[in-house]
Amino acid sequence: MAEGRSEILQGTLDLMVLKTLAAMGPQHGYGIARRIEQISEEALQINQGTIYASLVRLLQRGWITGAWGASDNNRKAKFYSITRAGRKRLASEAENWERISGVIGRVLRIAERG
Amino acid sequence: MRRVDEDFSQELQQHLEMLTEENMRRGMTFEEARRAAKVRLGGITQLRETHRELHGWLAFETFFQDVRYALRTLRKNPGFTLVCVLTLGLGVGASTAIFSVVNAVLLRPLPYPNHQRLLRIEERHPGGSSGNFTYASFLDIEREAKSVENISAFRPWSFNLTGAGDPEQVSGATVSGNFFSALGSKPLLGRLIRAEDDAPGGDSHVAVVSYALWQSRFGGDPEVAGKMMRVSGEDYQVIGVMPRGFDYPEKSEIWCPLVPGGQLRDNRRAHLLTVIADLRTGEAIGNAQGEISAFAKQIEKQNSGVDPDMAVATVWLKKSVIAPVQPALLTLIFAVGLLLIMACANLANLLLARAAARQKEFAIRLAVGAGRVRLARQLVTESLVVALIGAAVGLGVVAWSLQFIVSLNSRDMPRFGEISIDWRVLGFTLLVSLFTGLLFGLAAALSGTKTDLNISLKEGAAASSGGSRRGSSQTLVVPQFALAVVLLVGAGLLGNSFVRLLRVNPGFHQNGVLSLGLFLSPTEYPERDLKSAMLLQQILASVRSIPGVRSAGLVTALPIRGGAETGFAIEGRPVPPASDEPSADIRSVDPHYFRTMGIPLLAGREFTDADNATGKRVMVINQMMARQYWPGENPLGQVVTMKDWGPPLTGEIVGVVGDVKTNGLDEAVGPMIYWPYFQFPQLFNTLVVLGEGDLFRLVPAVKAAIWAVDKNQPISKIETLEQVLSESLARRRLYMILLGVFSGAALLLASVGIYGVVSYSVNQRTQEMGIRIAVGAERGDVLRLVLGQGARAAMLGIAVGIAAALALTRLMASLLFGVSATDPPTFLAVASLLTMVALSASYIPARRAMGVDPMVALRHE
Repeated sequence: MAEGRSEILQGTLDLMVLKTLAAMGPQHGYGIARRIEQISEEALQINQGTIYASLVRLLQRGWITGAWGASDNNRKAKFYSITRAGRKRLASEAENWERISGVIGRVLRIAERG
Repeated sequence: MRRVDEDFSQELQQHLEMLTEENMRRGMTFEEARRAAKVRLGGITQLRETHRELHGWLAFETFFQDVRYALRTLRKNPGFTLVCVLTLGLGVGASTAIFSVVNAVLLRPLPYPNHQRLLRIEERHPGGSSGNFTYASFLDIEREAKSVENISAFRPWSFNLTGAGDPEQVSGATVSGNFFSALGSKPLLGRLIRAEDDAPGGDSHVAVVSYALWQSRFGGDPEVAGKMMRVSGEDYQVIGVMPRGFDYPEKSEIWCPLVPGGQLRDNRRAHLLTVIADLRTGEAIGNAQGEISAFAKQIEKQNSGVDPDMAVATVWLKKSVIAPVQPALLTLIFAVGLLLIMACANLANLLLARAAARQKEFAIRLAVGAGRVRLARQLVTESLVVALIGAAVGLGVVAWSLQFIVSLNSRDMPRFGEISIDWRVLGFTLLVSLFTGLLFGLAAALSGTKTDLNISLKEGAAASSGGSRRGSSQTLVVPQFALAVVLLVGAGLLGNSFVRLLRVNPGFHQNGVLSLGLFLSPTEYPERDLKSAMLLQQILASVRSIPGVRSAGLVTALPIRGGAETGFAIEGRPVPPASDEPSADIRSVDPHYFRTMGIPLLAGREFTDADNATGKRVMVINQMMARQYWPGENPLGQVVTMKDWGPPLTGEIVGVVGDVKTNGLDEAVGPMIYWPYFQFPQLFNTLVVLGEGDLFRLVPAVKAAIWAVDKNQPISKIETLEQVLSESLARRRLYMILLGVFSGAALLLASVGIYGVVSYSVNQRTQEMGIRIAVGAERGDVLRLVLGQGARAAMLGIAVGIAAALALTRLMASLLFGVSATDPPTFLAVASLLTMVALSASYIPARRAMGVDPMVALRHE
């Protein structure tokens, strides 16, 4: 809530959750949030609770599934895993991002030179 | 749903614990760890709420779930829901009801097959009002007119049915041969009266009966055609039955051929016949009007003694039927339209205010992923649910009010029997309301959701949308108050007129007098034969002997209802030209009539038993006639000749009595001539009985007394004079009630409107007000600020309304009595009432504003 933190659009958060699940395998809410923070090197410090909105959305669309299980420490927790539809979505979204960032990169390089 | 919620709580709990553990591993104490974990996780309640909404939200993929959700939302806000439903219900219900009435009476075509061609031909004389024809003129027109066909005449009449069953008097009409052809109506059974039946030599003792009469007197016998019945002392053959509901004219139950007596054929003075015709297909009404008007000139030329100012006009029958109520019903349509607009405006107002208050809810929803389309769909569903509930309420309002209106129906009101719920109108008003609801609900919601989500969530929606919202809602207050003013002024003027009418002195006893109709059978008591007078004398004596009867009298027609008129001439004065011939009402009465009715004797004497057929012909006149024709002189002893009822009748004035309101409480009094009934006996009579105590307890005794003299004498129309007076005001009462209900509804809507506006405004500016109070503003100032807003809009509305009312009420001038269309006290009263309403409706939320704790307000978003 202080400045310096970038605004996270809901779409990108969903994407990151999917990616995390694809990479890490089944994980619970805390784990996913922690992972995202780590990977972004603490640049993205969200209220961890907002992760749950993403999870619900992804659940609704059938890109992830959820089930209760036991965590390490034998704690009861809800684990989410990516589905095949989810993987497909991830792949196409990732492709989009690559393309966009490529274009922007090229534009910025042009500007510098000129 | 709850399981999902509990599930998620658990999940959050776990998450929190894991975060706490992590923090503890970093070296914090349990408390610190827990606190830090909570911060990092975010507000649990908020998360749960969001999750619940989101989960529920996204799960609602079906319309049915949308509806359930909508219902729940509505139930959570009962005040809002109730007001919306009532607004819609009132608007839809009232408009549909009134429009159904107007539709049935004004718009729908007459229920006869030839309705498009039906004309009424009227004989018009300056000063006359009925438009009725004399028989001789009718014959002329029938013979000559080319542009119309099926010309026919009819005369409403009462028929005595005796023989099998109780002696009964029914309304009906004598009709000329083409009557049914003109209407184009077909019988249910048997055949109808034809031209041959009416012609000389034809079988004129035939009758067509109504469906109701067929049921009640013949038990619905399918073989009724050919059966005989005794009508007015003669045998008639039933030839046909009309379909259910056919009762033209004037609730007729039996129709017989006209076949007038020989004298009437040449009579050009007795205006008794209503003439109708069909426009020939292919003819324009203008042609018919021209052709027929030309006849007027011809008739005048060929017959001296006919009023040279006579004119003959041709109008559509429908127009002549609805003419008496047209202005009032048009006023009502106007009022209805206004009411509907007001209801829609109010609804829009409410939805806008509500949507603005839900900004945050929408912002959250959009932030967590609900699509804009999804949100819109949910709002649409909510609006639809409200609209449907409102419509159900509206339907109830319609059903009840139509029942009420039809029950007020007196014989005075044309076509009221045809009123029913018009589904087209219901559909239309429903659509309008639904459309308004959807439109404004959507618009408000979506416009609200366009604002920057982040700002919305952080700072609350007040800043960005409050200002414009306030402006638009206030512009809705102005027209609402204006409309309420217009309607209330109208209702006030009508109410005023009504009250004044009630105070008019009718000129006779209003209470304690019973009246009964006695129509003597023309065969048993031929006209001008003294037998009828003697019968009546015996009946009167018989009735007078009943204990509880203080006095009994006789008259040919009661006051208020109108009756026969005649032209007359005063002996010794120059004969005025035919167009200026004076006319007066005439009645035949018995010596006890004036006493029974409480009509005061002002000069001379009343009739006595000595004024019989052998005595000198005498008459009594009313005060108006005395003043008009003998101003400052004594009319007693003057001689007057009456002309219109057979050979001229001359009599000497022996008395002057007080005036009675002959044609209605709101009509001016004209000259009246009374004859003693032995000197001018008539078949239609009304017995009036001045009794003690409960009049209706006397009825069986009176009936018995009458039947003791003649067991076959039918009695009709038993009513008290009080009822006669009340019935004469029925139409006015109806208009007054209708407009009163309308203005009440409008007032309600306006109050709700302004309350909502001020309430919302207070809500939105709580923060601002907290600041004001915190920096030292007096609570009184805050109050004035809030009040000022609402009041200003209302005042403007009232001013506009007064101006509009001043312009519009002159359109209803014909409905007013004793008040001008710009009656200042009425306008003042309405303005004050609405001002008070505006102030009190603003005061309540303002009071709340005053009570705001600055700290609470500052924290409020």
